Amino acid sequence: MEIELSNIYYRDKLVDISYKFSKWRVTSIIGNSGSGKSLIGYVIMGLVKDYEGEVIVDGSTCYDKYDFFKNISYVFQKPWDHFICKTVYDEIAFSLRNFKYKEEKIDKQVRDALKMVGLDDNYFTRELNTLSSGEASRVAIATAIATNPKVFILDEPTIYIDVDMRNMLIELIKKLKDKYNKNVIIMSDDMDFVYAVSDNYILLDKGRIIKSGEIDEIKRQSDVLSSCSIYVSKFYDFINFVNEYKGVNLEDASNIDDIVQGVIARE
Amino acid sequence: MTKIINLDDVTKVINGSIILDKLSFSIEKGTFVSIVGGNGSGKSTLVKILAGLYSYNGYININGYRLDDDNINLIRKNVSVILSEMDDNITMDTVYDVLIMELVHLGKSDAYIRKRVNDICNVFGIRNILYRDMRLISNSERQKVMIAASIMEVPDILILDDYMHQLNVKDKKLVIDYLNKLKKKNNLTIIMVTHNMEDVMNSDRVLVLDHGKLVMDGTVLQVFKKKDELKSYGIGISFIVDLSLRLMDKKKIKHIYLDRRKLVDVLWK
Repeated sequence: MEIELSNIYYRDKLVDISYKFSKWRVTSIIGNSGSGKSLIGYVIMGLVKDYEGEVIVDGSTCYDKYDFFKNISYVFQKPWDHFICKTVYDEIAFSLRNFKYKEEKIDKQVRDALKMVGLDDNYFTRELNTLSSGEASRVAIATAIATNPKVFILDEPTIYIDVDMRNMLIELIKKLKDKYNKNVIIMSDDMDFVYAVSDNYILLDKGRIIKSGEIDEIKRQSDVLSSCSIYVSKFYDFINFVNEYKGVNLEDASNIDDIVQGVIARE
Repeated sequence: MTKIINLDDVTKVINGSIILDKLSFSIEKGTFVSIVGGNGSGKSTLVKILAGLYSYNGYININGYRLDDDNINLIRKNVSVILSEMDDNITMDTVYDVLIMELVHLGKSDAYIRKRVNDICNVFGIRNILYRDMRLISNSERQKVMIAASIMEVPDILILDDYMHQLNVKDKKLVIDYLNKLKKKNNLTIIMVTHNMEDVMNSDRVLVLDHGKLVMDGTVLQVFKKKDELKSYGIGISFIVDLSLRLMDKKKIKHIYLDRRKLVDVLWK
């Protein structure tokens, strides 16, 4: 499923947004808070109505809404915004039951989804209000995976999670893209996370697209990100700093050990 | 220094699972304390107990009063708490209403309220959004306003439960600088729950929780030095400390540098 935005305007919050989310790619929408990242998701999902412009799905503006929503999953910024049921199992099964799947199939998909986010069967009967914020994030992602959609939209997925789960999420997104050929759209300003998972990026500031393209282009451009008030990745910021301050070129480094190796090799 | 918060054998059990396990520590007045821990370590539960929202077993003393139902109103006068779920529960309409709510409640005079609002607007740069609807300002502005509202009448203790993650670069610097200023001037005690290791760098003391137990306690450097132990609790460390430690392993530098300019000066003379 290919989603394209064509000249979207929403009040003064989004200005002339045109972008085609390519197939089988992870696209990150980068921007500081208030830049309109989430709004783009809301426009795609039809959660805001009074926008101008068109959302084009598979080349057509007149697409089947039922089919569309069956094939897209949206994970909200706050996991608690999802929850409507009492227990974890019911919550994950909720949309599957709405799609009128057979109970055996539902059971299998719920189990698979929970396994993918690293929670065991003991969580089935846990009540949602007793979950910690990290567990709630996992359950929210599991609800999205369970319906087996073609497109995932993850709104600020790293806000409530710790290092372990962050690494798990990075692996999960890579797996969704490479193994299951899903499209993933991420809204985030956590640049280390964005660099780890994305193929493409859109840089947003005050509702306008400043830049877009392959993720590698933006890695060295800390100044562009800073000018949009985004927390730059400490790693790339350091490399740029060394380059400006001492004229030392560390551009081949792709992780922290490469910097250490660079220092050793110099002598 | 006087101890402003004292915990002794605090245990909390929810639905049969132990969330806090015999927690004991004390916090001195006028310090900036970060509480870190992986997901499910009991951070938020601890904050909710300190805010008087949950019952507990054990003994807690805040500001000289035992934390129980009789004293909770006395304690709350001098403690400001911002919970991470707070955004969902904003009851007032405009930024101005949110800012003056506490002062009106305390029966302060109009002139005093005007002066405080004016001061806070200057510090936080929120004059242009003063009469905007709370729901229509950006997340960063909303967090800034909520933090501003919590210190309109400067409390003895300010507790932030993961409440800085949406502030943008400029706003976060502004907020942290001002809180540090209050710490020096008014002897404000700040307790910040977070999982952003770059934010932790601003604090005087770090407490690490794991499965409801206090597993590490010390200054930023003392805690960050034990990188592998932190990792086993699901916590990373800030970039500059990580790089320093790796370089120390290779005998390239002698101690940890917190200022990257100094580190670079040593490495590339």
